[in-house]
Amino acid sequence: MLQRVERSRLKRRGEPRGYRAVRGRVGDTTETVGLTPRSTVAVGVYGLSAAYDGPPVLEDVSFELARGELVIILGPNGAGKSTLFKILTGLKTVSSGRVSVLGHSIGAARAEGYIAYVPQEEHIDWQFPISVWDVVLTGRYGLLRNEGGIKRFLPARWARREDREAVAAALNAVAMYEYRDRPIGALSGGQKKRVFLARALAQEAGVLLLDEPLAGVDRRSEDLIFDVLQRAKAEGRTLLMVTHDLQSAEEHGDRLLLLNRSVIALGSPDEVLSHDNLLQMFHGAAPLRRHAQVSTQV
Amino acid sequence: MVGWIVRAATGLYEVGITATEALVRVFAAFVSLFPAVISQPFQYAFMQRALLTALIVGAVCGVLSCYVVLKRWALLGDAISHAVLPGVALAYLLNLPFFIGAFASGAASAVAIGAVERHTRIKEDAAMGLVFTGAFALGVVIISRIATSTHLMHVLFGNVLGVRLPMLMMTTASGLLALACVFLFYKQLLLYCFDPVHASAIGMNTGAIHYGLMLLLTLTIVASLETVGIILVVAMLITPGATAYLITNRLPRMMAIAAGVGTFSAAFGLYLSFRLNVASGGTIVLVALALFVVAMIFAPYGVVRRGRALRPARP
Repeated sequence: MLQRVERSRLKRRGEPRGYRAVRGRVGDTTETVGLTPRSTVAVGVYGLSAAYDGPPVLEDVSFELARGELVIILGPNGAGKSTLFKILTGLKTVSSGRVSVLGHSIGAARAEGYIAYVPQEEHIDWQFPISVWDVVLTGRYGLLRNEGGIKRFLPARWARREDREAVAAALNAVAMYEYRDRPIGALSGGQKKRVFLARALAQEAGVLLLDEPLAGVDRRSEDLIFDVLQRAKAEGRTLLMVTHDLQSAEEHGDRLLLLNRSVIALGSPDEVLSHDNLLQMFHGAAPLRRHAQVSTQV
Repeated sequence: MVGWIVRAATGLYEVGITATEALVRVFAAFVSLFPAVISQPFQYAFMQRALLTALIVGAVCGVLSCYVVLKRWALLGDAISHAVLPGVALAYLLNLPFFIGAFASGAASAVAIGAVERHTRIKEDAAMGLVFTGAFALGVVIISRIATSTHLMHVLFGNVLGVRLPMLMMTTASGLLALACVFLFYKQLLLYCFDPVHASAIGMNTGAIHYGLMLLLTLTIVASLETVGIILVVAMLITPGATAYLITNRLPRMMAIAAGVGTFSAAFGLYLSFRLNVASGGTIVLVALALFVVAMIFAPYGVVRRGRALRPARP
């Protein structure tokens, strides 16, 4: 009961979820996990390894993301980027290591709705009979379940007023409100991304996972997406984005995470985007020697 | 304790039978309001029961067929429907209601398919092929040993004209149960079909939804066996949904249209089969298919108008 009251108060202030839960643990704020005080760590990954049948896709990955920062993951295909996202969305279990999201285990953070996911374009069936409005409304399903009482069993269309308002606000934030009754198949590439971004906003999550949100997006949509992301950052949300667009990454990322099975580098774009780091990321370990060999042969 | 349970179950059964009987009466009175050309075949009690069964099956299959079409589970539906055969045979052997056996073996095979897929490198389609042919073969073997071939024919091709009250009651109950599940878990099922990653990210148990939907499908298939039979039930689990998918772009509307297509084909198919004196299960499926062909040509997402409907909007 108390929790519910607390939550609704949070909502009025428009704060992302997951804040109070951590901040409430006053005793913990001085305790440190790794390098950073716990209260400022949004996503902590410690010694994470994961494998499918065969060698590990992720090996001893450790990093910490602070609240309100945009971290962009760069890495070649098969570097473990999507595996990392699968772990954070609960689709894959880890072989070893620990992950915490806003001070919770992944399972608890998912159940509380702290994790929002913006999918890659290929992962969605665009012929699915669903409208823009209903897609964004799916962002509220977690909240409906946790707070809706008996209404959790009713169709989402009969949702609470606050859910409708949140959906409308999220659609307005990405300038897609006029398209709310369109089927999702009738949207352009950039509009599709914006709808799913709106869904993440409607979820009021503390951590947003963005899987290639810039692929196939025109300039106008890209600017709009970054505007929205900046605002989300300012509200204290943590953004973790996978992209292949090096230029946007350099321009917009607070920090970059170079990943290829393990963390190659994590830091500001200036620090991280060195020749050696990139070589190591794309070619694996011991880049200098191989590079030297190539140049002597030529 | 046991005696109390048995008494409660018997009592429930009797109440159910009485209610079903009343339902048939009311329904028969309703049908008799139609012009004689239509209502004439339905003055027989067996035709009334058949029509009511077929309508329920048509509606429930129609609703579930939307998930089958959207989730691309057509082959899975086929697999489960074939896999209920050994359950039916064993239930006959043990003198149990065939409902129970069919549901148990359908559910077991659904789990077995998932297990083969998850724990080996065999892909889903091969896993289904393995399990459902295996189960079907087992069913054929058991039946060849114990029962007459008419019984096998009824299970394979349906026997809607021979539906008795207990069977109609079971069909009604499981149909209502399936529809209630779809209503109560609409959000979970929608999200699981549309974007399972998001479903998982907001803490839904996608494994439970997956098997839940499979069980729902099994329940529907078992409820439909008497009407269209094992071989053709999958048609009722694909055709209405496919037809509706060509007509609309909203899932609730799609379900309503699919239920309409299902009930209409059930009723009209039954009527035609009576008039033409042909097999009712096959006729029902053919009527549904005819509706699909019409939709395929003229519907908003059909052949003729397709290009215009899905053109991307200007940003």
